[in-house]
Amino acid sequence: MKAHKPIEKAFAVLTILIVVAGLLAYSLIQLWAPLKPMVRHVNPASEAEQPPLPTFLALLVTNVFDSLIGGNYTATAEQLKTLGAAYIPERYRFIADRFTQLLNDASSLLNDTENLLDQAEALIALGRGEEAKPLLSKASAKLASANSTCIELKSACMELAKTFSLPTDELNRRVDELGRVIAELYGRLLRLLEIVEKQNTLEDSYLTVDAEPKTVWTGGSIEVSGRLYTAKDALKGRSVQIYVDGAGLAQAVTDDEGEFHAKISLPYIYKPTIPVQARYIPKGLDSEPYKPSASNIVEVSLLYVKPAIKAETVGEALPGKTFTLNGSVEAERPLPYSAVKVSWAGSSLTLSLDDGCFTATLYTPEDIPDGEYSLKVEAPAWKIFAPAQATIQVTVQRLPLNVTLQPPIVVFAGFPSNLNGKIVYSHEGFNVTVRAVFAGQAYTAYSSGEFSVGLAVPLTVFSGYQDYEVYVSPDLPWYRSVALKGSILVVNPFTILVPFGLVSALSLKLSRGKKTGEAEPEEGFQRQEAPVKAYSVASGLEWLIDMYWQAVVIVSRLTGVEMKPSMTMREYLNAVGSRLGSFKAGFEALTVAAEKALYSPAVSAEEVESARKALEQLKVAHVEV
Amino acid sequence: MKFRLMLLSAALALLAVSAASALLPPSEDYQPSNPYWNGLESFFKAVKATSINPAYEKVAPENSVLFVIGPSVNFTQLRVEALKEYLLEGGTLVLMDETGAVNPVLSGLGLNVSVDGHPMLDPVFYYGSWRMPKIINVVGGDLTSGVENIALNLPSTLNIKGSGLTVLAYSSSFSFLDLDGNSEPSAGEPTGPFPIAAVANYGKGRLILFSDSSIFLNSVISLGDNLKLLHNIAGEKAVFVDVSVWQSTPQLAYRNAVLSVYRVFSAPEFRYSLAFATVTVIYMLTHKEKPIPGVDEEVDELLRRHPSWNRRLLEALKEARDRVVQRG
Repeated sequence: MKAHKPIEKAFAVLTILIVVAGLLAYSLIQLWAPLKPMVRHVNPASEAEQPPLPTFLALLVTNVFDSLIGGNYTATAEQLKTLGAAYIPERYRFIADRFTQLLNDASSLLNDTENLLDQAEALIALGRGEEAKPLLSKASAKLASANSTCIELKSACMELAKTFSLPTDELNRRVDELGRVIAELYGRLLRLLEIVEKQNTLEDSYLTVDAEPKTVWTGGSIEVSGRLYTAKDALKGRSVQIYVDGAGLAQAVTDDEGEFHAKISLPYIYKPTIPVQARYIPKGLDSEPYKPSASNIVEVSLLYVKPAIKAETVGEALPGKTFTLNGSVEAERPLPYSAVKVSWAGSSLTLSLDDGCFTATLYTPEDIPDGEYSLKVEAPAWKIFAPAQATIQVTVQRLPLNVTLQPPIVVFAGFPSNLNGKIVYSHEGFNVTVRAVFAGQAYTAYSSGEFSVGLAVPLTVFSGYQDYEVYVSPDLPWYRSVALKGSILVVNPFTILVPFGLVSALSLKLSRGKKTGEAEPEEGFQRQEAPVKAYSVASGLEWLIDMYWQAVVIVSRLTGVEMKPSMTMREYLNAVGSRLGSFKAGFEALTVAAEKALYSPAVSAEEVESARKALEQLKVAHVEV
Repeated sequence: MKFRLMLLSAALALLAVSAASALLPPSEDYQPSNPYWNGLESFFKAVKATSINPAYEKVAPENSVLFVIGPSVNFTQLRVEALKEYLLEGGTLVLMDETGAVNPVLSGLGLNVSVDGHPMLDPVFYYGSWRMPKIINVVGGDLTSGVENIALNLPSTLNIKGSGLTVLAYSSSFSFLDLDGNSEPSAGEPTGPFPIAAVANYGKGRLILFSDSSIFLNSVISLGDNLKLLHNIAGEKAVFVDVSVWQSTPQLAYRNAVLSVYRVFSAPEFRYSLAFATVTVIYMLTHKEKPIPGVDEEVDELLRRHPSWNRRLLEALKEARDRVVQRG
């Protein structure tokens, strides 16, 4: 137990020292740390939550209201989206969501109502009040929903204002204005319903129309005629609107027979057919007795020249190079224009026509990426000539570059090595820039055929595979750059030799130590090595020491006194001398000889002989006993 | 004895501190292995980025994106020239800064744009705090495809004076530059919208500029569409982050030194040497003749009683005696 105590003590001291050293090192590091750098960011987790600024949030909310009140429903939707992106603390989210939802509903309902009212109004204008009724009914329902939504919106608005400290008056005023908008729409609905009801009591009017000729050149003119009448009589002196292709182009007044005639100059429309219709909308006093009416629709076929553009490219479209565009514009009649417009790669040019044919040399920009691009040829519209357009897809693809690379299998750090390569040309020679990145080093070489990049791996790079990247960029923009990647084994002889040399030396030393059976001397012991040699046993007399120990064994058995480890030879002799009797002299001689073998440079032959005899006597005595 | 113990303790303490510094993740800003809120671990994982020091390592501009995030060291003319060359040769350079530290680079590149340096706050569109504005006005383009919101963290703004730069994103009209530092909109403080990101073609390459270095921090990258923005910028290219632009703290310098040593010892030659040495030592230890028990104790006891006696002589005597006893 006693033997363990010092170890425990040492262990405790060691532990304390480690902890103290660790703490000291940490404290020093902390002390050495520079002053806090500039604050570039904040920890989102430790940032205190902030509510939005009431003034600005109110502005955002009133913007939505203003768009809605102004009847701009598209803008309202955008404003609502923006409002949704504003920060709302999670605990108030439901308040804001309810408000936004109600605003969105109100916007949607009002938009639908307006659309329905517009459609109904158009039908009523054509005297189709009965058809408008269902639409008005739907509009009425929507408006009622909008009204109840507005009432809810008012309470939601108050809640929002209270939560985010928004100006209540401002919001209240906006809600009231929204109520006014609903009231206006309701008024419009009532008016339309009133008109429909009134129309039911009016006399039906009828309108017929015809157009001649039925086929006409675009830009030409047509004769439109028709009749306006009631079940009882023709309506004379009434104004009739004539619509061509949806646009009101002319107005005619009915004669005594209720007939009307008009010559209409058609615009240059390039459609195969166009609809012609007449409409009668009673005005002034007429609005009391007669219903509005719309005529039948007459289809008029249009004639026009439709030029055909044919275009084709000659040669490849390569970046930095030109290619030829050939084409023609063909038409049934001689073309009235002498140029076409060509658009290619972000630029456009005008090409002259030579007997309807055109040819152009088009340049492809150097920096255009590979891909498919549209080349557009356009001929303008000119009177009876309809516009023409032809689009062809042109593929821009750089020419492939054939590069073969011969990387070295092994590169020795500190020694130069070459990465060779070759560019195989198809038919034209050019220069290339070769950029290689290997083991953190960049290399550049210029070549027109074979190239060689001198690799110099620094000694700081350890052995192992290192990736390389080689980029071959041709000077000509119409060739594609090539990227090659791979890895090369780097062997660093220095970093290999140093550790392996050390390890080899260590193992050699250890194995030698084992062969001699000697343990490595300790530091303290080495200091005593020099005096040890002075006390070593005289050469060739080791057997004398052996002999002494044989004698000690016999003596200890004869006398019963064992030689303690602490005893010197002389002490043991004194301890057993009185018990040995006649053998004392012999053992004394043996002890002296052994001492001399240990401490004297030489032992005389007589002394050795007497020692041997003494041992023999002791052996005999031992046997006898 | 005491000296040896102290030496051993110091060595063990150094080992413990070194191991702790290498194993525990760093907490410094922008560190690639920092998993905390201010690190870039998520960024590095998302685009498989590589840390580089352009002074020692070169990258091929043709197929790479180089990020310079939150620089805290001055840009030398040499460094600006290197960045210029990188751009001219087709590289994509992303500069992210809110302090104005990148302004020398921008002027060195001949661009009429600068980072204002004052913090920009937004009291309406933000993530929890006005200091973390939310950008909702993102201009369409290949870099911002699918990006509707960008989360910022204590950003600044860009002062674009010339043409050639296309703005990628603007702050809201409610944002303001906090010139007086009171974190409130005050009279005379400029209000938005401010440009916060822009792109310019430069030579064969492209420069992307942000007035905030924190967009891709671990705590910000997942907010808004920041991750999508990062993927758009990176595309299929190799992503590199210039780690030489950050001022190193003593802790970080020590950690880097420890890791450098570790890297040296994890090199194949050292690894195999260590393995060989270990095997050799184990072999030697297992095949070594065991000392006779009790020898040392007996000799030590004698030496304690008689310090002037010679250990070697005593051991020789004991050895000789033992031989005789064995024979007897």
